Amino acid sequence: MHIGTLTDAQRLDFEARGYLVLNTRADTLACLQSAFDRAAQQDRLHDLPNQDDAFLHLAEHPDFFPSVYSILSDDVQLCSITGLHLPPASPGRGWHREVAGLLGVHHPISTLCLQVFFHLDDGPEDEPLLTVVPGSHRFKSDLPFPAITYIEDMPHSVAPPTKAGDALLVHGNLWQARRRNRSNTSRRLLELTYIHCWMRQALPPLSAAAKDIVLASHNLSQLFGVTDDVARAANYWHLQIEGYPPSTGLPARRFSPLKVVGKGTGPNT
Amino acid sequence: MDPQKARAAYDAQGYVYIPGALAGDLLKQVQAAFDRAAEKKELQDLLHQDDLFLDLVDHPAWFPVVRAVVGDDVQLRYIRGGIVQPNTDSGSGWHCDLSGLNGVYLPDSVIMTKLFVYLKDVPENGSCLALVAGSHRYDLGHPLPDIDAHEAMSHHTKMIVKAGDAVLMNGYTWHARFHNRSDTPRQVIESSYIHTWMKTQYQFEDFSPHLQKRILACHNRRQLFGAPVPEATNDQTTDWQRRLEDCPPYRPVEVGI
Repeated sequence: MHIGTLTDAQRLDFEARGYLVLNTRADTLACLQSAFDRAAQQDRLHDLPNQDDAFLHLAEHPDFFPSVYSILSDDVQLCSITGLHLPPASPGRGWHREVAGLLGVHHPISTLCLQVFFHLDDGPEDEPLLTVVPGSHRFKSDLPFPAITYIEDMPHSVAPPTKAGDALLVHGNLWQARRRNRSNTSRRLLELTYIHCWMRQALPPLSAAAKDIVLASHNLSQLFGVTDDVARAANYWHLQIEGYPPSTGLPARRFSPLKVVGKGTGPNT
Repeated sequence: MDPQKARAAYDAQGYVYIPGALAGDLLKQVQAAFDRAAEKKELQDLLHQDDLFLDLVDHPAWFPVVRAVVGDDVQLRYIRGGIVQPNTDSGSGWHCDLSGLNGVYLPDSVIMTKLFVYLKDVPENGSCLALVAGSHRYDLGHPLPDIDAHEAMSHHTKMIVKAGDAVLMNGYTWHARFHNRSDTPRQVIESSYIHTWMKTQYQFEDFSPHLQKRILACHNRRQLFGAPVPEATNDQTTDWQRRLEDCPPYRPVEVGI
Protein backbone atom coordinates (compact mmCIF):
# COMPACT_ATOMS: atom_id res chain seq x y z
CA MET A 1 0.00 0.00 0.00
CA HIS A 2 1.35 3.43 -0.92
CA ILE A 3 0.05 6.77 0.18
CA GLY A 4 2.58 9.13 -1.35
CA THR A 5 3.81 12.02 0.72
CA LEU A 6 0.98 12.72 3.19
CA THR A 7 1.99 12.57 6.83
CA ASP A 8 0.09 10.12 9.02
CA ALA A 9 -1.68 13.02 10.73
CA GLN A 10 -2.74 14.56 7.42
CA ARG A 11 -3.95 11.21 6.11
CA LEU A 12 -6.03 10.63 9.24
CA ASP A 13 -7.40 14.16 9.09
CA PHE A 14 -8.41 13.82 5.48
CA GLU A 15 -9.88 10.35 5.88
CA ALA A 16 -11.93 11.48 8.88
CA ARG A 17 -13.05 14.93 7.78
CA GLY A 18 -12.81 14.93 3.98
CA TYR A 19 -10.82 18.14 3.79
CA LEU A 20 -7.39 19.50 4.57
CA VAL A 21 -5.97 23.03 4.85
CA LEU A 22 -2.39 23.46 3.65
CA ASN A 23 -0.28 26.58 3.96
CA THR A 24 1.85 27.40 0.94
CA ARG A 25 5.04 29.43 0.62
CA ALA A 26 4.61 33.11 -0.03
CA ASP A 27 6.93 33.45 -3.01
CA THR A 28 4.37 32.52 -5.70
CA LEU A 29 1.44 34.39 -4.17
CA ALA A 30 2.17 37.88 -5.53
CA CYS A 31 2.71 36.49 -9.02
CA LEU A 32 -0.61 34.59 -8.92
CA GLN A 33 -2.46 37.62 -7.55
CA SER A 34 -1.31 39.89 -10.36
CA ALA A 35 -1.90 37.18 -13.03
CA PHE A 36 -5.41 36.70 -11.60
CA ASP A 37 -6.13 40.43 -11.78
CA ARG A 38 -5.01 40.61 -15.40
CA ALA A 39 -7.22 37.66 -16.31
CA ALA A 40 -10.18 39.12 -14.40
CA GLN A 41 -9.75 42.47 -16.14
CA GLN A 42 -10.07 40.73 -19.51
CA ASP A 43 -12.95 38.56 -18.30
CA ARG A 44 -10.88 35.39 -18.83
CA LEU A 45 -11.15 33.72 -15.43
CA HIS A 46 -12.58 30.66 -17.21
CA ASP A 47 -9.50 30.45 -19.46
CA LEU A 48 -6.68 30.67 -16.94
CA PRO A 49 -4.29 28.13 -18.54
CA ASN A 50 -3.98 30.43 -21.55
CA GLN A 51 -3.65 33.64 -19.56
CA ASP A 52 -0.40 33.17 -17.68
CA ASP A 53 2.25 30.46 -17.25
CA ALA A 54 1.80 30.76 -13.50
CA PHE A 55 -1.55 28.98 -13.78
CA LEU A 56 0.03 26.08 -15.66
CA HIS A 57 2.70 25.59 -13.03
CA LEU A 58 0.16 26.04 -10.24
CA ALA A 59 -1.23 22.59 -11.15
CA GLU A 60 1.94 21.04 -9.73
CA HIS A 61 2.47 23.49 -6.87
CA PRO A 62 5.07 21.94 -4.57
CA ASP A 63 3.11 22.79 -1.42
CA PHE A 64 -0.17 21.12 -2.27
CA PHE A 65 0.30 18.87 -5.30
CA PRO A 66 2.15 16.14 -3.33
CA SER A 67 -0.93 15.87 -1.11
CA VAL A 68 -3.29 15.90 -4.10
CA TYR A 69 -1.62 13.02 -5.89
CA SER A 70 -1.25 11.14 -2.59
CA ILE A 71 -5.03 11.30 -2.16
CA LEU A 72 -6.01 10.62 -5.79
CA SER A 73 -3.09 8.35 -6.83
CA ASP A 74 -0.42 8.44 -9.53
CA ASP A 75 -3.06 8.60 -12.27
CA VAL A 76 -4.07 12.13 -11.24
CA GLN A 77 -5.15 14.62 -13.89
CA LEU A 78 -6.55 18.13 -13.88
CA CYS A 79 -10.24 18.45 -14.74
CA SER A 80 -10.50 22.23 -14.60
CA ILE A 81 -8.97 25.41 -13.24
CA THR A 82 -11.05 28.53 -12.87
CA GLY A 83 -10.94 31.83 -11.00
CA LEU A 84 -13.62 33.26 -8.74
CA HIS A 85 -13.76 36.98 -8.11
CA LEU A 86 -16.18 37.75 -5.31
CA PRO A 87 -16.83 41.43 -4.58
CA PRO A 88 -18.53 42.37 -1.30
CA ALA A 89 -22.11 41.02 -1.10
CA SER A 90 -21.47 38.40 -3.80
CA PRO A 91 -24.01 35.61 -3.40
CA GLY A 92 -22.90 32.25 -2.14
CA ARG A 93 -23.42 28.79 -3.60
CA GLY A 94 -25.75 26.39 -1.85
CA TRP A 95 -24.90 23.04 -0.30
CA HIS A 96 -23.92 20.46 -2.88
CA ARG A 97 -21.67 17.51 -3.63
CA GLU A 98 -19.30 17.99 -6.54
CA VAL A 99 -19.63 14.36 -7.70
CA ALA A 100 -23.41 14.17 -7.29
CA GLY A 101 -24.04 13.80 -11.04
CA LEU A 102 -21.56 10.96 -11.54
CA LEU A 103 -23.55 7.73 -11.71
CA GLY A 104 -22.24 4.21 -11.22
CA VAL A 105 -19.88 4.84 -8.30
CA HIS A 106 -20.25 4.04 -4.63
CA HIS A 107 -19.01 7.46 -3.58
CA PRO A 108 -18.76 7.07 0.22
CA ILE A 109 -15.67 4.90 -0.10
CA SER A 110 -14.39 6.11 -3.44
CA THR A 111 -12.31 9.18 -4.28
CA LEU A 112 -13.11 10.34 -7.78
CA CYS A 113 -12.33 13.98 -7.47
CA LEU A 114 -10.48 16.44 -5.25
CA GLN A 115 -10.95 20.19 -5.35
CA VAL A 116 -8.27 22.67 -4.32
CA PHE A 117 -9.46 26.14 -3.36
CA PHE A 118 -6.41 28.35 -3.44
CA HIS A 119 -7.01 31.58 -1.53
CA LEU A 120 -5.48 34.75 -2.91
CA ASP A 121 -6.73 37.08 -0.17
CA ASP A 122 -6.85 37.28 3.57
CA GLY A 123 -10.44 37.54 4.70
CA PRO A 124 -11.83 38.59 8.05
CA GLU A 125 -11.22 35.72 10.48
CA ASP A 126 -14.92 35.42 11.27
CA GLU A 127 -16.00 35.38 7.62
CA PRO A 128 -14.48 32.37 5.84
CA LEU A 129 -16.16 31.83 2.50
CA LEU A 130 -16.12 28.07 2.19
CA THR A 131 -17.99 25.81 4.52
CA VAL A 132 -18.21 22.02 4.77
CA VAL A 133 -19.76 19.25 6.84
CA PRO A 134 -16.79 17.30 8.19
CA GLY A 135 -17.06 13.57 7.52
CA SER A 136 -19.95 13.93 5.06
CA HIS A 137 -17.85 12.45 2.24
CA ARG A 138 -18.78 9.11 3.83
CA PHE A 139 -22.52 9.81 3.67
CA LYS A 140 -24.57 7.69 1.29
CA SER A 141 -25.30 9.40 -2.00
CA ASP A 142 -29.06 9.28 -1.52
CA LEU A 143 -29.00 11.01 1.88
CA PRO A 144 -30.94 14.24 1.25
CA PHE A 145 -29.78 17.65 2.40
CA PRO A 146 -31.86 19.03 5.28
CA ALA A 147 -34.47 21.59 4.29
CA ILE A 148 -32.65 24.76 5.32
CA THR A 149 -33.04 28.31 4.08
CA TYR A 150 -29.62 29.74 4.79
CA ILE A 151 -26.26 28.15 4.11
CA GLU A 152 -25.19 28.91 7.69
CA ASP A 153 -28.07 26.80 9.05
CA MET A 154 -26.51 23.49 8.04
CA PRO A 155 -26.07 21.35 11.17
CA HIS A 156 -22.49 20.40 12.06
CA SER A 157 -21.00 22.60 9.36
CA VAL A 158 -17.66 24.31 9.85
CA ALA A 159 -15.96 27.07 7.89
CA PRO A 160 -12.22 26.35 7.98
CA PRO A 161 -10.31 29.59 8.57
CA THR A 162 -7.99 30.45 5.70
CA LYS A 163 -5.68 33.25 4.68
CA ALA A 164 -3.95 34.31 1.49
CA GLY A 165 -1.80 31.47 0.17
CA ASP A 166 -3.78 28.72 1.88
CA ALA A 167 -5.04 25.77 -0.11
CA LEU A 168 -8.23 24.05 1.04
CA LEU A 169 -8.40 20.48 -0.31
CA VAL A 170 -11.95 19.12 -0.49
CA HIS A 171 -13.08 15.54 -1.24
CA GLY A 172 -15.50 15.58 -4.20
CA ASN A 173 -18.22 13.83 -2.19
CA LEU A 174 -18.04 16.22 0.78
CA TRP A 175 -21.08 18.40 1.50
CA GLN A 176 -19.82 21.88 0.72
CA ALA A 177 -21.09 25.39 0.15
CA ARG A 178 -19.75 28.91 -0.37
CA ARG A 179 -21.16 31.63 1.84
CA ARG A 180 -22.13 35.11 0.76
CA ASN A 181 -19.21 37.52 0.93
CA ARG A 182 -20.28 39.56 3.94
CA SER A 183 -16.94 41.34 4.27
CA ASN A 184 -16.29 44.72 2.73
CA THR A 185 -13.39 43.51 0.61
CA SER A 186 -13.27 41.51 -2.60
CA ARG A 187 -12.13 37.89 -2.34
CA ARG A 188 -10.25 36.02 -5.02
CA LEU A 189 -10.15 32.22 -5.23
CA LEU A 190 -8.59 29.77 -7.64
CA GLU A 191 -10.46 26.48 -7.93
CA LEU A 192 -8.55 23.49 -9.29
CA THR A 193 -10.42 20.23 -9.70
CA TYR A 194 -8.31 17.08 -9.92
CA ILE A 195 -9.62 13.73 -11.17
CA HIS A 196 -8.25 10.42 -12.49
CA CYS A 197 -6.70 10.24 -15.95
CA TRP A 198 -9.52 8.02 -17.26
CA MET A 199 -12.13 10.68 -16.54
CA ARG A 200 -13.21 13.45 -18.90
CA GLN A 201 -11.56 16.82 -18.46
CA ALA A 202 -13.19 20.22 -18.86
CA LEU A 203 -10.20 22.42 -19.67
CA PRO A 204 -10.21 25.06 -22.41
CA PRO A 205 -8.18 24.16 -25.53
CA LEU A 206 -4.58 25.16 -24.84
CA SER A 207 -2.83 27.79 -26.94
CA ALA A 208 0.34 26.74 -28.77
CA ALA A 209 2.46 28.60 -26.22
CA ALA A 210 0.72 26.94 -23.28
CA LYS A 211 1.01 23.54 -24.96
CA ASP A 212 4.76 24.00 -25.41
CA ILE A 213 5.20 24.68 -21.72
CA VAL A 214 3.06 21.71 -20.75
CA LEU A 215 4.77 19.31 -23.16
CA ALA A 216 8.17 20.16 -21.70
CA SER A 217 7.16 18.42 -18.46
CA HIS A 218 5.94 14.84 -18.10
CA ASN A 219 3.80 15.70 -15.13
CA LEU A 220 2.20 18.80 -16.64
CA SER A 221 1.52 16.81 -19.83
CA GLN A 222 -0.33 14.25 -17.77
CA LEU A 223 -2.14 16.82 -15.67
CA PHE A 224 -3.38 18.78 -18.69
CA GLY A 225 -4.01 15.66 -20.77
CA VAL A 226 -1.67 16.74 -23.55
CA THR A 227 0.68 14.33 -25.25
CA ASP A 228 2.43 13.98 -28.59
CA ASP A 229 2.71 10.26 -28.11
CA VAL A 230 -0.38 8.73 -29.69
CA ALA A 231 0.30 5.25 -28.33
CA ARG A 232 0.47 6.62 -24.81
CA ALA A 233 -2.68 8.68 -25.32
CA ALA A 234 -4.65 5.56 -26.25
CA ASN A 235 -3.59 3.83 -23.06
CA TYR A 236 -5.28 6.35 -20.82
CA TRP A 237 -6.30 3.98 -18.02
CA HIS A 238 -2.92 3.90 -16.30
CA LEU A 239 -0.87 7.09 -16.55
CA GLN A 240 1.69 7.76 -13.87
CA ILE A 241 3.11 10.90 -12.33
CA GLU A 242 6.92 10.93 -12.07
CA GLY A 243 9.30 12.14 -9.41
CA TYR A 244 7.20 11.33 -6.36
CA PRO A 245 6.86 8.21 -4.22
CA PRO A 246 4.18 5.91 -5.66
CA SER A 247 0.60 6.40 -4.50
CA THR A 248 -2.51 4.29 -5.06
CA GLY A 249 -4.65 6.92 -3.39
CA LEU A 250 -7.07 7.04 -0.47
CA PRO A 251 -8.83 5.15 0.95
CA ALA A 252 -5.87 2.77 0.99
CA ARG A 253 -6.68 -0.41 -0.87
CA ARG A 254 -5.23 -3.85 -1.52
CA PHE A 255 -4.42 -5.47 -4.85
CA SER A 256 -4.39 -9.16 -5.74
CA PRO A 257 -0.77 -10.35 -5.77
CA LEU A 258 -1.48 -12.29 -8.97
CA LYS A 259 -2.94 -10.46 -11.97
CA VAL A 260 -3.60 -13.33 -14.38
CA VAL A 261 -3.81 -17.05 -13.54
CA GLY A 262 -4.65 -20.31 -15.25
CA LYS A 263 -3.08 -19.78 -18.66
CA GLY A 264 -1.60 -23.27 -18.61
CA THR A 265 -1.87 -24.95 -21.96
CA GLY A 266 -3.04 -28.39 -20.90
CA PRO A 267 -6.25 -29.73 -22.43
CA ASN A 268 -9.24 -27.85 -21.11
CA THR A 269 -12.04 -30.26 -21.91
CA MET B 1 -35.53 -9.68 -21.88
CA ASP B 2 -37.03 -7.51 -19.17
CA PRO B 3 -34.35 -4.91 -18.31
CA GLN B 4 -35.09 -4.89 -14.59
CA LYS B 5 -34.94 -8.67 -14.31
CA ALA B 6 -31.72 -8.62 -16.32
CA ARG B 7 -30.36 -5.98 -13.97
CA ALA B 8 -31.23 -8.16 -10.98
CA ALA B 9 -29.39 -11.10 -12.53
CA TYR B 10 -26.42 -8.89 -13.34
CA ASP B 11 -26.32 -7.47 -9.81
CA ALA B 12 -26.31 -10.96 -8.33
CA GLN B 13 -23.93 -12.71 -10.71
CA GLY B 14 -21.82 -10.01 -12.32
CA TYR B 15 -23.10 -10.96 -15.76
CA VAL B 16 -26.28 -11.65 -17.65
CA TYR B 17 -26.87 -14.03 -20.56
CA ILE B 18 -29.14 -12.85 -23.39
CA PRO B 19 -29.99 -15.84 -25.61
CA GLY B 20 -30.98 -15.17 -29.22
CA ALA B 21 -30.21 -11.47 -29.09
CA LEU B 22 -29.55 -11.48 -32.83
CA ALA B 23 -31.50 -13.81 -35.10
CA GLY B 24 -32.79 -14.35 -38.62
CA ASP B 25 -31.82 -12.04 -41.44
CA LEU B 26 -30.14 -9.50 -39.20
CA LEU B 27 -27.80 -12.13 -37.78
CA LYS B 28 -26.91 -13.23 -41.31
CA GLN B 29 -26.27 -9.65 -42.40
CA VAL B 30 -24.05 -8.98 -39.39
CA GLN B 31 -22.14 -12.23 -39.97
CA ALA B 32 -21.54 -11.26 -43.61
CA ALA B 33 -20.44 -7.72 -42.69
CA PHE B 34 -18.15 -9.15 -40.03
CA ASP B 35 -16.57 -11.53 -42.56
CA ARG B 36 -15.95 -8.64 -44.96
CA ALA B 37 -14.32 -6.60 -42.18
CA ALA B 38 -12.19 -9.59 -41.20
CA GLU B 39 -11.10 -10.06 -44.80
CA LYS B 40 -9.92 -6.45 -44.84
CA LYS B 41 -8.28 -6.89 -41.43
CA GLU B 42 -10.43 -4.06 -40.09
CA LEU B 43 -12.11 -5.74 -37.14
CA GLN B 44 -10.72 -3.08 -34.78
CA ASP B 45 -12.53 -0.43 -36.81
CA LEU B 46 -15.95 -1.99 -37.29
CA LEU B 47 -17.81 1.31 -37.26
CA HIS B 48 -16.26 2.40 -40.53
CA GLN B 49 -16.87 -0.95 -42.25
CA ASP B 50 -20.66 -1.13 -42.40
CA ASP B 51 -23.62 0.92 -41.18
CA LEU B 52 -24.92 -2.20 -39.46
CA PHE B 53 -22.28 -1.95 -36.75
CA LEU B 54 -23.37 1.51 -35.66
CA ASP B 55 -26.89 0.15 -35.31
CA LEU B 56 -25.59 -2.49 -32.91
CA VAL B 57 -24.47 0.00 -30.25
CA ASP B 58 -28.07 0.76 -29.28
CA HIS B 59 -29.78 -2.37 -30.54
CA PRO B 60 -33.10 -3.01 -28.76
CA ALA B 61 -32.14 -6.61 -27.91
CA TRP B 62 -29.57 -5.45 -25.36
CA PHE B 63 -29.43 -1.67 -25.07
CA PRO B 64 -32.32 -1.44 -22.55
CA VAL B 65 -30.40 -3.94 -20.43
CA VAL B 66 -27.16 -1.98 -20.81
CA ARG B 67 -29.03 1.15 -19.77
CA ALA B 68 -30.60 -0.56 -16.76
CA VAL B 69 -27.17 -1.76 -15.65
CA VAL B 70 -24.94 1.24 -16.40
CA GLY B 71 -27.44 4.05 -15.94
CA ASP B 72 -28.85 6.98 -17.90
CA ASP B 73 -25.36 8.41 -18.37
CA VAL B 74 -24.19 5.43 -20.44
CA GLN B 75 -21.53 5.94 -23.08
CA LEU B 76 -19.70 3.62 -25.47
CA ARG B 77 -16.00 3.09 -24.89
CA TYR B 78 -15.46 1.01 -28.03
CA ILE B 79 -16.94 -1.61 -30.32
CA ARG B 80 -14.70 -4.03 -32.17
CA GLY B 81 -14.57 -7.53 -33.59
CA GLY B 82 -12.36 -10.42 -32.66
CA ILE B 83 -11.60 -13.89 -33.98
CA VAL B 84 -9.95 -16.72 -32.06
CA GLN B 85 -8.62 -19.32 -34.46
CA PRO B 86 -9.54 -23.00 -33.93
CA ASN B 87 -7.21 -25.40 -32.16
CA THR B 88 -5.02 -22.72 -30.60
CA ASP B 89 -3.70 -22.11 -27.09
CA SER B 90 -5.28 -18.72 -27.20
CA GLY B 91 -6.86 -18.48 -23.76
CA SER B 92 -6.52 -15.31 -21.74
CA GLY B 93 -6.11 -16.65 -18.22
CA TRP B 94 -8.34 -15.63 -15.33
CA HIS B 95 -8.29 -11.92 -14.62
CA CYS B 96 -10.36 -8.90 -13.77
CA ASP B 97 -10.25 -6.00 -16.23
CA LEU B 98 -10.47 -3.28 -13.60
CA SER B 99 -8.11 -4.73 -11.00
CA GLY B 100 -5.57 -1.90 -11.36
CA LEU B 101 -8.04 0.97 -11.27
CA ASN B 102 -7.57 3.50 -8.48
CA GLY B 103 -10.16 5.72 -6.86
CA VAL B 104 -13.30 3.60 -7.08
CA TYR B 105 -14.74 1.08 -4.63
CA LEU B 106 -15.42 -1.48 -7.33
CA PRO B 107 -17.49 -4.11 -5.43
CA ASP B 108 -20.36 -1.62 -5.15
CA SER B 109 -19.82 0.30 -8.39
CA VAL B 110 -20.49 -0.33 -12.07
CA ILE B 111 -17.71 1.44 -13.93
CA MET B 112 -17.39 -0.59 -17.10
CA THR B 113 -19.55 -3.28 -18.65
CA LYS B 114 -18.62 -5.46 -21.61
CA LEU B 115 -21.02 -6.88 -24.15
CA PHE B 116 -20.07 -9.95 -26.18
CA VAL B 117 -22.26 -10.75 -29.18
CA TYR B 118 -21.41 -14.15 -30.66
CA LEU B 119 -21.58 -14.68 -34.41
CA LYS B 120 -20.75 -18.38 -34.36
CA ASP B 121 -21.61 -21.17 -31.94
CA VAL B 122 -19.01 -21.67 -29.20
CA PRO B 123 -19.00 -25.38 -28.29
CA GLU B 124 -18.00 -26.84 -24.94
CA ASN B 125 -14.39 -27.29 -26.08
CA GLY B 126 -14.34 -23.93 -27.82
CA SER B 127 -12.96 -20.57 -26.82
CA CYS B 128 -15.61 -20.10 -24.14
CA LEU B 129 -15.97 -17.05 -21.98
CA ALA B 130 -16.01 -18.28 -18.39
CA LEU B 131 -16.90 -16.30 -15.29
CA VAL B 132 -16.98 -16.67 -11.53
CA ALA B 133 -20.51 -15.67 -10.61
CA GLY B 134 -20.60 -13.13 -7.79
CA SER B 135 -16.89 -12.28 -8.00
CA HIS B 136 -17.79 -8.67 -8.88
CA ARG B 137 -18.65 -8.33 -5.18
CA TYR B 138 -15.28 -9.55 -3.92
CA ASP B 139 -13.43 -6.99 -1.85
CA LEU B 140 -10.66 -5.01 -3.50
CA GLY B 141 -7.49 -7.07 -3.54
CA HIS B 142 -9.24 -10.42 -3.12
CA PRO B 143 -6.44 -12.73 -4.28
CA LEU B 144 -6.73 -14.73 -7.47
CA PRO B 145 -5.89 -18.37 -6.66
CA ASP B 146 -2.54 -19.61 -7.95
CA ILE B 147 -3.86 -22.13 -10.48
CA ASP B 148 -2.29 -23.48 -13.64
CA ALA B 149 -5.24 -24.22 -15.89
CA HIS B 150 -8.47 -22.43 -16.69
CA GLU B 151 -10.68 -25.27 -15.50
CA ALA B 152 -9.00 -25.29 -12.07
CA MET B 153 -10.90 -22.15 -11.04
CA SER B 154 -13.53 -23.00 -8.45
CA HIS B 155 -17.19 -22.24 -9.08
CA HIS B 156 -16.74 -20.99 -12.61
CA THR B 157 -19.45 -20.98 -15.26
CA LYS B 158 -18.57 -21.63 -18.88
CA MET B 159 -20.69 -19.84 -21.48
CA ILE B 160 -21.53 -22.39 -24.19
CA VAL B 161 -23.40 -20.20 -26.61
CA LYS B 162 -25.12 -20.17 -29.98
CA ALA B 163 -24.61 -17.70 -32.80
CA GLY B 164 -26.68 -14.62 -31.96
CA ASP B 165 -26.42 -14.99 -28.19
CA ALA B 166 -25.00 -12.16 -26.08
CA VAL B 167 -23.40 -11.85 -22.66
CA LEU B 168 -23.16 -8.64 -20.67
CA MET B 169 -20.41 -8.71 -18.05
CA ASN B 170 -19.26 -6.37 -15.29
CA GLY B 171 -15.63 -5.34 -15.87
CA TYR B 172 -14.85 -6.25 -12.26
CA THR B 173 -16.04 -9.86 -12.61
CA TRP B 174 -13.35 -12.53 -12.66
CA HIS B 175 -13.36 -14.04 -16.13
CA ALA B 176 -11.25 -15.92 -18.65
CA ARG B 177 -11.33 -16.94 -22.27
CA PHE B 178 -10.54 -20.64 -22.56
CA HIS B 179 -8.18 -22.09 -25.16
CA ASN B 180 -9.91 -22.95 -28.40
CA ARG B 181 -9.76 -26.77 -28.70
CA SER B 182 -12.57 -26.88 -31.21
CA ASP B 183 -12.53 -26.79 -34.99
CA THR B 184 -14.60 -23.61 -35.01
CA PRO B 185 -13.22 -20.08 -34.89
CA ARG B 186 -14.71 -17.87 -32.20
CA GLN B 187 -16.20 -14.77 -33.79
CA VAL B 188 -17.42 -12.11 -31.45
CA ILE B 189 -18.31 -8.44 -31.44
CA GLU B 190 -17.15 -6.88 -28.19
CA SER B 191 -18.42 -3.54 -26.93
CA SER B 192 -17.46 -1.72 -23.78
CA TYR B 193 -19.94 0.61 -22.08
CA ILE B 194 -18.94 3.21 -19.50
CA HIS B 195 -20.28 6.55 -18.20
CA THR B 196 -20.32 9.93 -19.94
CA TRP B 197 -17.96 11.33 -17.32
CA MET B 198 -15.30 8.86 -18.45
CA LYS B 199 -13.02 8.99 -21.49
CA THR B 200 -13.71 6.77 -24.48
CA GLN B 201 -11.29 5.36 -27.02
CA TYR B 202 -12.87 7.51 -29.71
CA GLN B 203 -12.38 11.10 -30.73
CA PHE B 204 -15.59 12.17 -32.45
CA GLU B 205 -13.67 14.24 -35.02
CA ASP B 206 -11.82 11.09 -36.17
CA PHE B 207 -15.04 9.54 -37.49
CA SER B 208 -15.89 9.79 -41.20
CA PRO B 209 -18.37 12.55 -42.18
CA HIS B 210 -20.95 9.84 -42.94
CA LEU B 211 -20.58 8.31 -39.48
CA GLN B 212 -20.60 11.69 -37.78
CA LYS B 213 -23.83 12.58 -39.57
CA ARG B 214 -25.52 9.37 -38.44
CA ILE B 215 -24.36 9.84 -34.87
CA LEU B 216 -25.40 13.48 -34.69
CA ALA B 217 -28.90 12.66 -35.90
CA CYS B 218 -29.94 11.14 -32.58
CA HIS B 219 -29.64 12.33 -28.97
CA ASN B 220 -28.72 8.93 -27.55
CA ARG B 221 -26.04 8.30 -30.14
CA ARG B 222 -24.57 11.74 -29.54
CA GLN B 223 -24.27 10.77 -25.89
CA LEU B 224 -22.97 7.26 -26.61
CA PHE B 225 -20.14 8.69 -28.71
CA GLY B 226 -19.46 11.80 -26.64
CA ALA B 227 -20.41 13.98 -29.61
CA PRO B 228 -20.82 17.70 -29.00
CA VAL B 229 -24.24 18.93 -27.95
CA PRO B 230 -25.72 20.93 -30.89
CA GLU B 231 -25.22 24.65 -30.28
CA ALA B 232 -28.73 25.43 -31.49
CA THR B 233 -30.22 23.66 -28.48
CA ASN B 234 -28.47 26.12 -26.15
CA ASP B 235 -27.95 23.15 -23.85
CA GLN B 236 -25.33 23.88 -21.18
CA THR B 237 -25.09 20.26 -20.06
CA THR B 238 -21.52 19.19 -19.33
CA ASP B 239 -20.01 15.77 -20.00
CA TRP B 240 -20.57 15.01 -16.32
CA GLN B 241 -24.30 15.66 -16.61
CA ARG B 242 -25.43 14.03 -19.86
CA ARG B 243 -28.47 11.77 -19.74
CA LEU B 244 -30.34 9.66 -22.29
CA GLU B 245 -33.52 11.08 -23.78
CA ASP B 246 -36.88 10.31 -22.17
CA CYS B 247 -35.40 10.61 -18.69
CA PRO B 248 -35.37 13.82 -16.67
CA PRO B 249 -32.36 16.05 -17.43
CA TYR B 250 -29.85 16.21 -14.62
CA ARG B 251 -30.36 19.18 -12.36
CA PRO B 252 -27.70 19.78 -9.71
CA VAL B 253 -29.15 20.01 -6.20
CA GLU B 254 -28.07 23.06 -4.20
CA VAL B 255 -29.57 23.90 -0.82
CA GLY B 256 -29.44 27.20 1.03
CA ILE B 257 -28.74 30.81 0.07
